[in-house]
Amino acid sequence: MSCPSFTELCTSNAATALRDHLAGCPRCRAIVARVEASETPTDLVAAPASHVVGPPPQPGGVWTFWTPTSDEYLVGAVIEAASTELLIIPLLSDTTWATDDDVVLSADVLGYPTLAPIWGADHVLIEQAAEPVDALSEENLALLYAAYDAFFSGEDLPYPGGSPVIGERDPRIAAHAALAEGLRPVFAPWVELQVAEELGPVVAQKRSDRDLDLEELEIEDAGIETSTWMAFEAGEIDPYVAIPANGMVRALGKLGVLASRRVLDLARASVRANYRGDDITAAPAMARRRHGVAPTARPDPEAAAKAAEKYADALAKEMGL
Amino acid sequence: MTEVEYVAARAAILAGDEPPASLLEDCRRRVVLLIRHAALPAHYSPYGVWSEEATEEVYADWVAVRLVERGQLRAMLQRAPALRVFRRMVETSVRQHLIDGLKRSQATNLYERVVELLEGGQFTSSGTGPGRLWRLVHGSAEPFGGDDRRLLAIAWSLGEFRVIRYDLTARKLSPLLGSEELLRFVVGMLEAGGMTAATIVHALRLRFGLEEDQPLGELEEALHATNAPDPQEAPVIAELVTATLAELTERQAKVLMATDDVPVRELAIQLGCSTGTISHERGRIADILGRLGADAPGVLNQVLETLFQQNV
Repeated sequence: MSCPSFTELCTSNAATALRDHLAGCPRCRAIVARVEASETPTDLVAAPASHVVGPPPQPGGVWTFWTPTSDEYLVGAVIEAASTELLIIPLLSDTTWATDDDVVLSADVLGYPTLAPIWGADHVLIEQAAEPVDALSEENLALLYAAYDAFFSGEDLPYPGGSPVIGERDPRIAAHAALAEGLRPVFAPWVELQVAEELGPVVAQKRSDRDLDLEELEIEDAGIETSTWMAFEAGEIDPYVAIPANGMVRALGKLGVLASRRVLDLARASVRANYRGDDITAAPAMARRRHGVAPTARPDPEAAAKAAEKYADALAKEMGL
Repeated sequence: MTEVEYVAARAAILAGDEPPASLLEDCRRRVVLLIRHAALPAHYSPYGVWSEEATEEVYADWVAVRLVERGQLRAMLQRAPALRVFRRMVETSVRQHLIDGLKRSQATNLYERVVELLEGGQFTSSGTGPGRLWRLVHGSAEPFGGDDRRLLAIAWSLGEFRVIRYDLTARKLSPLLGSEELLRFVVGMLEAGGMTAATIVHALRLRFGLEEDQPLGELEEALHATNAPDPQEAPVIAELVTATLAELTERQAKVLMATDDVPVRELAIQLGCSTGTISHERGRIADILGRLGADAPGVLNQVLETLFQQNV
């Protein structure tokens, strides 16, 4: 998270109100130590998971996007919209670092000049869309589409926003790297849900990334045995029958996985892949079946799908989706 | 301003309302606190010291240039869901505004410095006057033939430069680009081909964003302005709006209300006059707005708003 504002550090109770941040930030500790108190502090507000009222994001829409690890919104143009995710191009208010891989939208588009780093286009979860703030004209949307297609085809942008980079010492190279760095947290919630096609392995990867022990997920409080959870992470067990929805959501929360439709899709996939319900269709009888070989159980796809939906519904309810 | 008040103000402004006085007052307070707590050095001040007058001037200039003219209030509000985030952005914006001002103030004699450097014996030239073409002694004799994009690309390729330096001993700022940095820039540019001094200065301006902001005095710019006025100036603006409406003729008012989308010929037909008359009326409108100070975006917006309300 970014440092508090300077004047926030000047507040009377900065040392206590900002304790967590100050513990890890020598710059801010030094400021707090040097300045006198004078200001009423404001609440520390985490990025809200706002419930968007109105139509969902559509291509051409300009929205703000939030991410759990930043207190600032990103403004971006929606290029593609699906049920679980959006492809966006960030719109930045500082155009200083424009190159020929960027588009610069003039002030009459959003009210201020905007840098659209085409190379920075990526996906976010649809739940990260916080609020609509504007809409691009068809002309400007077409401009971004053309730039996007050109860039990812390795061609020159039709209307580049800046001059080309012709030398390695050009500071814009580093500036773009820093911009990409700054954008990464916004795309992280989507990226971390793409590492597998089932929820279990996704959770395993996330837990590994965060170096968390199973105890920290508090799964036993929800009546889930460790071996069961491990089997779930390995993609070997049906979470519908083995892991209650409330326990799953609590564990996902501990892991910092964003509640999203993508998680529901992954959970459905986990159920379908591992469903061993009551409605088992026996394998067809073989004319010359060898003695002692049992028929292979084959789950009923319809029953598996129903179970997957039930589990997804339960998770959605727990997640407040 | 409380968090709740901020959230309400943010939603209202993003929906098109004018900024409330409480939000601007909070911004002003940020500026005062930044200065009071020495977060901005004295040489950032336009007067070299932070007096009350300097503080107010900086605040007013920042509001006019950044928040209103450049639309940065909207940009910041979109990105700041919470008051603390907004305040942080305000601080950054004020600081950047002052730095940009320093760059401009320290770049006033740039052309003379470049000419002096070129004439110092390290370069060779051909021609005379403004068209005098400078090149490196052992460099290409070919004149640079690229456009602005190419010129800027070369300027960027020269790497980082320290634009502003503050000499603590002398207690003063160096000119934009110290002597060594300026020499490095000039040599780097001339490696791309022969250039006039003006071309090199143009490259400097492009590279370091030194283009002077155009004053919002022209009709076209004013017509495109969309930002709201400072509520603290509301009584003054109200008087200007009234005076402007009083001086405009009916036709001038109609011309003023016509958007850019309407071609001059079509507007002329609508108003039953010639296209020449439309051009003439536009000239007069510009005179009136300029004379009354009504070409400021906030005033003109209110003039137009009033006209359209009366036109319903």
